[in-house]
Amino acid sequence: MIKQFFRQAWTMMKQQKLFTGIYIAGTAASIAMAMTIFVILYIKLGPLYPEENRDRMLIFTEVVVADDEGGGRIFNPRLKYIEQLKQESKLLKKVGVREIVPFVSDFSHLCEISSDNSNTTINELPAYVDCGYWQLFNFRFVQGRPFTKEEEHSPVAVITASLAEKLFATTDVVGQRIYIDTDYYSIVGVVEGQRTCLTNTPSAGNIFVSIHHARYYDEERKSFYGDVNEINEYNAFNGYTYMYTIAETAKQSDSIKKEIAEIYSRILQQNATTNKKIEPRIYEYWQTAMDVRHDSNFFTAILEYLYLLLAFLLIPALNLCGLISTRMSSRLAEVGVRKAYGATNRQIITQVLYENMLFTAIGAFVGLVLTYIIVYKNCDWIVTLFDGKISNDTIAQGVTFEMLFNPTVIASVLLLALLLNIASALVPTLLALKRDIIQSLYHRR
Amino acid sequence: MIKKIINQIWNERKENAWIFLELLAVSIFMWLAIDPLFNLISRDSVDKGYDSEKIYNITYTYDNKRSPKYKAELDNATTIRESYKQMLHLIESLPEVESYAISDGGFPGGNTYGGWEFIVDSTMRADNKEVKKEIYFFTCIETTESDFLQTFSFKDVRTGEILKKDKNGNEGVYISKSLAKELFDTESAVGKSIKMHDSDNSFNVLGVYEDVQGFIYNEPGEFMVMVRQYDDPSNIRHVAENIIHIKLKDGVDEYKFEKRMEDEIKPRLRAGNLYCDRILSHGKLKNEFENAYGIKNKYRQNFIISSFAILCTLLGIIGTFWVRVVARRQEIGIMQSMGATRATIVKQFILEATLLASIAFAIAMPIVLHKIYAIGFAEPLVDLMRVKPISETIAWRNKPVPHFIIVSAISYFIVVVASIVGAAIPVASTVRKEPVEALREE
Repeated sequence: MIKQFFRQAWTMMKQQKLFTGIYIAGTAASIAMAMTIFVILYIKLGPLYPEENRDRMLIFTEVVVADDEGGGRIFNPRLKYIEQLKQESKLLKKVGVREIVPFVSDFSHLCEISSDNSNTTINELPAYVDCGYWQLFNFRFVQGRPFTKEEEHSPVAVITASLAEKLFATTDVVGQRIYIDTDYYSIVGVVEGQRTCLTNTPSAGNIFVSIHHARYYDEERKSFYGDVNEINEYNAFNGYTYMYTIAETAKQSDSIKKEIAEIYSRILQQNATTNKKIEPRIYEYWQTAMDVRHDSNFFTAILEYLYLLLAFLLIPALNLCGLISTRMSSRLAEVGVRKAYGATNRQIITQVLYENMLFTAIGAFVGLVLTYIIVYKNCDWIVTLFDGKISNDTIAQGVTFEMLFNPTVIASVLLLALLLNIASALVPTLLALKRDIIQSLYHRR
Repeated sequence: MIKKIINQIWNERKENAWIFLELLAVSIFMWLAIDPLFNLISRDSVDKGYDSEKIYNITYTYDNKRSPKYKAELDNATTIRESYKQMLHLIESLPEVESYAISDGGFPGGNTYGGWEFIVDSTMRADNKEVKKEIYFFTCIETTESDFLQTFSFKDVRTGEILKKDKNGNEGVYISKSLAKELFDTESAVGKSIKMHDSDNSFNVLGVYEDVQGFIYNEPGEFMVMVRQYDDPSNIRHVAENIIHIKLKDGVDEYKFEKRMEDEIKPRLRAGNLYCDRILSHGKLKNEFENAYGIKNKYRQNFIISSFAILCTLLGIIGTFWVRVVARRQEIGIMQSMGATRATIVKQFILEATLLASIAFAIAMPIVLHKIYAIGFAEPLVDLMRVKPISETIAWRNKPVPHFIIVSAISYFIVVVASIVGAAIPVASTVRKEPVEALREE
């Protein structure tokens, strides 16, 4: 039966080229727009190499310290305090913390990366991390291995394959020396480059060294930058570190956030000997990716996207409804005959849905291809299309196979197509079926 | 004829229902997409009050202690002072340069400024009222040769000519016309003074200029230029944060100048650990701000939505009218054989499409008005718009009623044109047939 429906639809498609053309174009436009939004969201939030645990990731970047005027001053966490926080492992494990990793990167200063082998100098932001970083992200090592806890005080580095290619023209560089400004490091591992489209994600960077070498950010910042940090009452609060945390399960995020906030506040109050109100702000990964507040809820954050999705589906759906309604009017006689021979409304609706399914499937396929073309050709700006503020280091690096061809994206196309098909075919068909057999047959006259 | 067509639309109301709903939805979305676009374009095209043509901005950076190029022996106040002087001299001596200015990073059409609460003493005002107000300002650093006002062509409210800088090189402030009115209740504020809140610092008003756009995509309004005399820098960070703005002489080829700057001058703008980072035209800098603040994204988003709405209108109308024309082939044949011209028939269908789109648009307007009532017009980049212009300086087209009328007119025009094109395509192709062929097909 289904085969017959499809055959009929195929014949109709050849007969009514205009109808088919408009139907497919409308569906393709709708799917292309809706899927582009979906792919943008997927690249921002989906589990992509090496950040496959984004749904369980928490990022601690801000501490608000109440000031005397009733407001608050915002600081970054301090490495020393994060290390103290890590020692509270029992409390943290209890609420579901799997890993805590401090991360330092001086976003204001690009370092000059060079090697003994060539005169090439590349400007990069080194990421200073501890050995837990390699548990946090699933980096694939092309050569060598990550640095270990024992090596944290040694000058060792892990670099990406793309940096190795640029500096050494090969990825076989384990054991070679690399310079960050004037300091040298031995390369112990080479990883596949981070494949996220944006460079401001937690795994961004092309060179990773032990956080031990970033200690001057906390302790020696003043001498490093001259008078940038005048000593004042808030000096004890300030730091230059981010902290990444992975939860055992996504559901534990809230309790982990609460626990970390409590512990950090206590540590800070002890170290700074203050009674000022301290509010550590811990973000979930999606909150930082979508640049929203730490207490935003997901639904509110994606409301803008949902409105657009609605527009991209609703307008073409109305268009398709009009087309199907017109076609149903011209097929009233056929409906009347089928009803007269005992076909139920359900059978007729099923037939119409299946027939339209063919058109929708073709439209969805064209739409998906269009989506890929749109995203691929415009990847330098399209991923940040909905971002209010784009930082200078948010540079698109191109899309990858896994960003576009993955089960989630394909399943979403199918779901959207099905939704569009049902939404556009059901109402006109039901309206057409309201007429009784006599009326329908009379229409044939 | 219109009455006849309205009757026809009413008689075919069931057939028209879907396309009507689509036009209704398209009208709403089109309005919502045009609103922010109009907002941006309109605010970008306001009279900025200063001249941004032929202005280049030179930014600096320096090698820090960890850089391989860092030279410790040059990191001292004397060298920094001499280095900076040399560079200023080099810029000043360029034959293409008409004037130059130094700012601490805030300048007209930029993205940063200072802000402080100031007090106007009651004796400064005719009504003897003390005024306390938060004022936003740029700080310019003046040497004997530099001239901020001339470089950006600020206009004197009294003469309309370019405002002259204080001959004696005094420190003080230049204020905009609307700020003068707000603070002193008069435009004639030269010689009066304002005081910083929580400080003894007092500043004389050295001049009053026509309002300028202090911030990109903002209306010109209350703003101030604070003049600080050039002080020999003791720390490299102080000079590295400054921006040097140069204005080119008339007739200088900008392309050639940019190339010469990049190839010849930029390498020479290096002294000690300080070196020129970038030389950017005002236009390119604006482009960077537009990218960074998501303004370009706003343009893109709304162009995409409008284009999508236009495409849907076209597809919907083409589909509907094709079916309609096919159904009325006989009628068309009879009309043609009775002497109706092709133009008359096409006109009839086009009028039908126009009426349909117009009715849908008219019904969409109360929904749009409700949205405006509930959440207002599209605010261009709320985060960026912290400087609220005073009402007098809002361009007429940005006031609520004209804004609504203009956005509605643009949206209506687009929806109707798309509908007309959508209707004309199938009708024109059908009426090309001879009447006898049309009648025979029935």
